[in-house]
Amino acid sequence: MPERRGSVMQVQKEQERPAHRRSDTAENITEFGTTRVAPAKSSIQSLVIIGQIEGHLILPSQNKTTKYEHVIPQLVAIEENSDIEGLLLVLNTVGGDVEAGLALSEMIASLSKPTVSLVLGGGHSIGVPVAVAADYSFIAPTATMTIHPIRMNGLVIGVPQTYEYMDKMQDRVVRFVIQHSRIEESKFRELMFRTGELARDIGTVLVGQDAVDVGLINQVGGIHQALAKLHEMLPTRRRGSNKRPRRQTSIQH
Amino acid sequence: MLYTPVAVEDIFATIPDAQALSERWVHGRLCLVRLGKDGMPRLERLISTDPDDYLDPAFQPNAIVWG
Repeated sequence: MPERRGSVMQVQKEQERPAHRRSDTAENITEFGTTRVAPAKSSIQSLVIIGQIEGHLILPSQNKTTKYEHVIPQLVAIEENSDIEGLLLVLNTVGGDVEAGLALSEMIASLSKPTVSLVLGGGHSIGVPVAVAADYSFIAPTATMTIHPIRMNGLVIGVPQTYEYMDKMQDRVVRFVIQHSRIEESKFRELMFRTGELARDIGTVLVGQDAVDVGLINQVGGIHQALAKLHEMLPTRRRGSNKRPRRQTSIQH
Repeated sequence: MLYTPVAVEDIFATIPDAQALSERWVHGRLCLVRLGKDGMPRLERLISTDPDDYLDPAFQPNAIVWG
């Protein structure tokens, strides 16, 4: 019974909302396959990617995680909802699952609406492709991005195919990053395999301006610059150019 | 396959006090909820892309939320 009371209260709340903000259940079922679509209020939505990007395995509860089953439907809704004009991505992530991270990156990169990312604190490992997936990227002056090779855990079979598989996984990340940023492939791989910088790994930590200097991130900045840039990108789209400005791919595959 | 600088033993360490969060829909918004010491469902994290939701007093951290 309390559940029914809750539903009645929710319906009453829905009715109190202005007509343009009320969600039409039938339309939600048709458009999104769900009745639970939050009514859109702001034309700019923000997506916060924090902690570990969780993949097919649920990580132990002491990890803060971003789950793709939460984020991917939100990205679909953002693309589909005509009231939403732009997306701000805020990242403070230590990376995580390769496939989940690449899935998010591809979703973000293929949105038709302008996107701006802001790396705060850290945007490490698989956080790098997520950060560069946006149309324009910012990094806070003190934020860091760690670029290092992919590791394998669990049972490892000592055959050449294992190395080839890892190499392929790594290539997926490298290819996405170079296609969505200004960094050259040779530079990215040099940063990835650099020795003597990290205590427990090989690779490189880029701090703020370093990420801009190597061509990974567009600009050093904070929330004001990121939102200003996103607002600047919105009218471009309104003026009728359906094609948003894309960054040039530096290397062809 | 994980791609992170965090050590695998840290990610998969089991901390006995770490309490799992449960998902709950509250007025059309997805919330991660933790049971407080008083047994009440307290908001740990709001999962929404709408910035206005984070200004809503009903969705402030530690608020009691009923789904």
